[in-house]
Amino acid sequence: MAGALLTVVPKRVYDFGATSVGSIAVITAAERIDVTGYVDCMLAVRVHAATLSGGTIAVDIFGDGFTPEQPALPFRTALPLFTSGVIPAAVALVTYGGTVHGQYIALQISGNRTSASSLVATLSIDLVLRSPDPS
Amino acid sequence: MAGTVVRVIPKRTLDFTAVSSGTSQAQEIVLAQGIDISNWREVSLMVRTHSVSNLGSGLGNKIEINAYLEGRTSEDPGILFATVIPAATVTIDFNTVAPSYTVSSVGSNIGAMLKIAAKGTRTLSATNIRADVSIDLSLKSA
Repeated sequence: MAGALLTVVPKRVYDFGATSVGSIAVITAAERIDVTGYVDCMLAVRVHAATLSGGTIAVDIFGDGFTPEQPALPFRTALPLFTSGVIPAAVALVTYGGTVHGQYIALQISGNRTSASSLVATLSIDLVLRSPDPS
Repeated sequence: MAGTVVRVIPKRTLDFTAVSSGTSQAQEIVLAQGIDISNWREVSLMVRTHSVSNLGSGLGNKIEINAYLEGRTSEDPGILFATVIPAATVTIDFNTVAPSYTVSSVGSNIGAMLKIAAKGTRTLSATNIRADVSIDLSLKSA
């Protein structure tokens, strides 16, 4: 076996309606996900419902450098590990992914509010981790 | 599935403040060498910057964490064969805001051993060149 399926976010509502127009609110939905033994990572984002008239919502994977030496400090890579897929305003399954280097990853959901309209999505997210090594 | 994490150095202060001023004066110290990576196909350098001094905006003062390939041999144990150009570099400079975390791929299907070194470079001015850093290697068999 050389793969794993992780349900990192169960079905949940992400409402960015209170975010100031012109601002981006970022929520860390999961962190310290151990990818030591995996090379490839795929995200499966289920959009159960969404109203995105007020902007866009993105789901990104960042490198997580958690260390017990300073557990309070949020060590994150400056950029996502790969380009995120576009979350549509309709029921959908969006998949995307790439290579994951390092020990841990974190999953962040961000809402970019561009107008004073609703910005809310009901999402559930799975993570598929694989390694070509069959051992 | 196979992978492991090797600690290169725990949180430690790297202080290159004493490097003399001038045109690109630099000092490099070896942090770890002879790290056996022969069982792994893919290597990544993970550098955490816990804190960093004011390196002077735009002056070129920096600390680089370099990963070199090493080619030791029992036929000539007194010579530490190593590549001259780093296989991976993480740079801490005036753009770095602590806490910072960078993962840099050293590569796939590379040699048998690695050496990790820290290089402090001073271009101008008398600012401190100091950072608290911890370094790990992520080894994976892809």
